[in-house]
Amino acid sequence: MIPIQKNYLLVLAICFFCLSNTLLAQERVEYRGTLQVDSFTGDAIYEYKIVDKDTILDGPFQLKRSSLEALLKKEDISFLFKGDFKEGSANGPWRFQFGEFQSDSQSKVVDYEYRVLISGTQEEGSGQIKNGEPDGLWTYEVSKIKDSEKEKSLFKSDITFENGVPQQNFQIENEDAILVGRFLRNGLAHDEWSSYDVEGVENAESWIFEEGVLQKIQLIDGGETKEIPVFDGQAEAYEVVSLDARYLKVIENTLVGRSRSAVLNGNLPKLLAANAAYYQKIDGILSKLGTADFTPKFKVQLPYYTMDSVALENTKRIIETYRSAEAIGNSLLNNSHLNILKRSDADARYYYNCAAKIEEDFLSPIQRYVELADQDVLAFIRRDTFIASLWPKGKPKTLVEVASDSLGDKKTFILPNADSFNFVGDNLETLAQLARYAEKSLETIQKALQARLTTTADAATLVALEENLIQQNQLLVTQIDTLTDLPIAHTKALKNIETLADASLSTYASLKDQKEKLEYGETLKSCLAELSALSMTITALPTQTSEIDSLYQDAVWNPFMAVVMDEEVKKRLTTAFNKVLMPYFLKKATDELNCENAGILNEEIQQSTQRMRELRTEETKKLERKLRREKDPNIILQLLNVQPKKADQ
Amino acid sequence: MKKLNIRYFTLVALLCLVVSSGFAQDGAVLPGESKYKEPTTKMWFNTYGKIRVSKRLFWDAQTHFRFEETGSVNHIGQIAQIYNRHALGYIYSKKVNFSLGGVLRINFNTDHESADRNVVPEFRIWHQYQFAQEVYRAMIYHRIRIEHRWTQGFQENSEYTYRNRWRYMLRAKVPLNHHKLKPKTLYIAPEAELIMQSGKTVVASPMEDLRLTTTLGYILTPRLTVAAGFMYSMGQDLNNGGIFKQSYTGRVHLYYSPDFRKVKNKLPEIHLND
Repeated sequence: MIPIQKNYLLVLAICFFCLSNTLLAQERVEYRGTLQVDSFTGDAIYEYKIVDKDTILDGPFQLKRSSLEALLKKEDISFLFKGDFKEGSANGPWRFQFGEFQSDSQSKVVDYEYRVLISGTQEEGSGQIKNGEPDGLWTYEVSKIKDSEKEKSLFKSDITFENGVPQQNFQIENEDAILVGRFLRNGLAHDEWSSYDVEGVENAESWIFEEGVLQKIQLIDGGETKEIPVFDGQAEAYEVVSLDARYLKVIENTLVGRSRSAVLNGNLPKLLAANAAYYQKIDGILSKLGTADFTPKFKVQLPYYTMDSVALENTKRIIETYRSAEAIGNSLLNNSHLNILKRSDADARYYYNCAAKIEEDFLSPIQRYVELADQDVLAFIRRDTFIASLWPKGKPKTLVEVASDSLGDKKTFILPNADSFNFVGDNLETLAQLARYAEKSLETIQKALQARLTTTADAATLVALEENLIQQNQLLVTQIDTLTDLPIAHTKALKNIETLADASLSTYASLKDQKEKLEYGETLKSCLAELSALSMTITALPTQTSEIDSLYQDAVWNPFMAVVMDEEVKKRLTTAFNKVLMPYFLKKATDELNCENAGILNEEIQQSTQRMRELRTEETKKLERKLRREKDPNIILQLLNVQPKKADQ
Repeated sequence: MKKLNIRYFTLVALLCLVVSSGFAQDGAVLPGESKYKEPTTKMWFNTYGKIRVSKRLFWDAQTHFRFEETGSVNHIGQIAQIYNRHALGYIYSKKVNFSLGGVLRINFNTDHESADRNVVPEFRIWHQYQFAQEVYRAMIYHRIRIEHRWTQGFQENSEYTYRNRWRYMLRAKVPLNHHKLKPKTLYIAPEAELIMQSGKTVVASPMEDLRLTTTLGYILTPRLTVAAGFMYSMGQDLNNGGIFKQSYTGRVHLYYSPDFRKVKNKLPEIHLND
């Protein structure tokens, strides 16, 4: 009996040995060490196997990074990706965390642990993945963290998938709005997708889909409802596309007029774009690790208009002509010497204005067509209505009319062969003709200016200087023109700064002697820099004064009311600052500004605001006594110990 | 035995009722139905000071000048009383405070036909418990004030009589031009105060005064407020509970709350419980 048992064991052992040898070839190996995936480098632990000399991830996977040292020093950018792979595809529960944290470097010991409070933002996406595609409920949340606690949610999306296809209802929200909608089982958008302002439901936006076709958009603004029809369902063919930036581009160009901007500035496109960007982030990571398709795959349908060979040929022609015309236009409008010259030379100004007008009337609208071609969405746009919508006030004429001087006198420009151009109709041929006319006109203008631009601008230093001056002036103008909500006195001061800069540039342009020009130009350069600094200071003044006002408030408990009230303290200081210095500064900037005193004024303002901040905590009894009834700004500046450096210092 | 007891008790109670409804003070006969005297007119000029002396203590200093009508002049015909009310206050929290102190009141004899003394003093000890509540944008205040007073008549060698006063006041302050009470705020303050009294001399006239006032105030600074208002009051005559006095009083108030502490001591001003 015993020998039989021994034999049996021997056979079993041999079988086991053979089997394990074949299995060994497929054995999973664990890796622990550094790994870079996309732009993320961290410590990884994962399992893999070698199949046909390829590394296939199989088993648990983790990649993470966090640095206490970086956190304590300045800021730490941490991340954690954790989940499972099966045969090279992500499978099972997954979690993606991205954090950007700062700490106040204060630590405390709790239960034998050192604790450091952190503040910043944390992103977390989690859910199930099946064969590299999201499956089941996926949640992506971005939270603001303060002192290691979640302060508020900045973004959150909940979407349910089945094999990567979004299903049923979804919800996406950020700080301002909430979007809810639903999909059919095939992932097509269906029914009403509505976004509401978090503050209240008076402002809402709904996109109404019918099996993926966007029928209409409903906007509720302050209780008033507005309906914008989009696709009427009359198109011959439809194509299923992803709801992404390209789709939004098509919608943008299908809508006309004011409804266009109302829809595009709405919350719905913003929320969808933000969500797509977060999913893209995960897709970027997973696709680097194995097979994955982690785009949200929101599907919609767009009408499809076939492009025949003639249409394709015309489009190619339009794009080429547009690009050539655009290049000439840009070279003229951005030419710093021409920008200077147009201030003193009437002809140069006329040609410059013509180029600007052609750019605006011809090229900007055509650019929209070119953009659609670049994004490869022309086939989804109904061309005749689109072309008609490019010029809502009518197409430009061959006769281009521009102002020749600041008084508004008109001068015209026309190509000698203008008669051979025909702008009638809303087809691609018309568009090509318009582009061609713009190109030829700009070529003619360029030729007319050629002589002027080359003969007078031969000094390289002068050209560089002029470029700098124009740039500075442009910066100043943009800086000032983009401002809103400033008090009138501040706006007046800023407008005067703009006028002074402009006048100085005109003086420069009128100078004939190159040496003189160079000298004046150098002074002007520092003047423009000072004006720019001054304009920034004046822009910041309202905020600074209100900061100072609140700094000079004390919380006082009123025993009769049993409430805490704000009490103004050191009133003579704030009165001197608000009632004497502020008006003085603004008046000086509005009425007495020049290149010599701009820098001094800027310093005076900055130093006095700084002194006001310091004086809050200083002993000021004597100073307050001296300030009593003092109305002279210069004496007040002296008393505050404001000493701007003189221009020659 | 039990039956007898009940009968006895009923008899005593009935007797008491008859006596108390028929007589008031020392044989004053209660009228068949309550009588209201013609209202008199008065004018009060009151100053209220709460002077901060430490983190939790303040000195409550009030001086009131109270006038009343003479035959020909309404409201301010003659001076009636001068109040000097002082106390040490304790701030328990921003919403709760208590005070304990004394009052010296100078009473002027306003009866021109009287041959008695013109001026007599009156003394009081008082303590007060005040609670504030925030209700929407307004504040409401509950004030319980208990006074122990020694008064005497104008007759020569008049004896002091001792009485207690039990006062409850409900007052609201509603800001009119701002969302909360803060400097440069106009507010309206309706208030109702019931003053009950007790003591040997108080037999059937426990309700001394019911004061209904509305004041319009303006907060100049956190430390200075002015207010003016009008008050209707009614209460039982001490000597005869069936007779009710009435009055219409104009009131002008000045509230001030200086803080002479050094700056560094003022700092924890609002953090009383930290």
